[in-house]
Amino acid sequence: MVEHDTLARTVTKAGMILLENGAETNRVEDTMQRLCKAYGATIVDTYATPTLLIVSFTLNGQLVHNIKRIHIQSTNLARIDAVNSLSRQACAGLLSCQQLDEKLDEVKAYRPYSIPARILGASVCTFGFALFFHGTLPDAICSFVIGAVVQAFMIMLNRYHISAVFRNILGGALLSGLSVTASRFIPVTGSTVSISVLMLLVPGLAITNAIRDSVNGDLVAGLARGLESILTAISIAVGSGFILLLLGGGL
Amino acid sequence: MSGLYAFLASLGFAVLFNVPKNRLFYAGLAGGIGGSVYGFALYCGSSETIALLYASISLSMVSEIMARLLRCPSTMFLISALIPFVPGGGAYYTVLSIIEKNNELALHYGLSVIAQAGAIVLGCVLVTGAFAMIRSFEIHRHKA
Repeated sequence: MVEHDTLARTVTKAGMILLENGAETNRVEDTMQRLCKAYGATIVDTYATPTLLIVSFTLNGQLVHNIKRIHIQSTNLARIDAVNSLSRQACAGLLSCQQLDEKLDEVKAYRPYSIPARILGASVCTFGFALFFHGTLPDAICSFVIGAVVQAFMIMLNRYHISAVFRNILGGALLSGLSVTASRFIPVTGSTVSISVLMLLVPGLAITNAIRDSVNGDLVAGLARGLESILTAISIAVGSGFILLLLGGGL
Repeated sequence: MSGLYAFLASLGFAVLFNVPKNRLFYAGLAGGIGGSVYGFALYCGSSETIALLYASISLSMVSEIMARLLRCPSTMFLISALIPFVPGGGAYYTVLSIIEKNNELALHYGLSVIAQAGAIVLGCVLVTGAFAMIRSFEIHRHKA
């Protein structure tokens, strides 16, 4: 027999891991609902926005609610994948609630890729972008280096509690400063390098999720994520635009 | 060639989004296929916006199919693959033109950014909607 408290805590934990690591709203609500039903709860209602998680169900004739405040962190799709397969197992009746709770703690402890790997990933990414935007090989190599520097800078900023808007302004300023300076001294196209590195900061996850949430009918979540992506885009533009103004827009 | 470049870009992003190691390649592949379609459409003479629409449709389909084959969320492939096509370049030139006080050019770039973003969204929505429909048909058939 599953205790009310245990079930409520475990289900909320699963939802929290999904939401914090960048799952779309529909998936969060659906997973929590399935888990509740798998452990015998009835009249299940779940609600998720990027900042709040609510679950309510009836178990053995007793009504239970749980509310959790969410702070969205970095994206970690490996965790989402893990919770997804755990939820499949739980629905197939292979996991007790206690086991599920322990497994979720293991998922929470998943480490992201190491810092050098992430910096290398960013460089490969900007290298690809420079060529994709019809840049020359020197452009691509220059983007490779600047991409690494910007990514290292962003990882460093992530350690401190600075608001995302300010972080993106700084990141945008750094990247346009570096690429304009580079274009003065070596024969590369400043704008191509800027655009390629800029793509690192573009809020791809927020945009994709905003679209998917809105289409699924989760309008509140869609609006919140849409605003997040617009704010990020504006702050990148402010940062890089400011530096371009200072350097006389020299490209 | 643009397929290869998009593959590299998607692969890099997959690392940043912590896609598990054994699925990194597939995430890159989805982006690569989108890139090839985009390059081919441009080569055949379609406009930038329509090429992006084709790319977005093809990469969403590939991601959804891979998600079903590998039994994992389609988000994992879709996000990494979609990013290379976000019109970041257009947005950058819009801001640049505003700074240079060239409002006509800014409007021109701004409008094309909106059209291109719309094309990507439309492609993604069409495919996701179609797959959701197929899924609900299947569930109905099981119940019946």
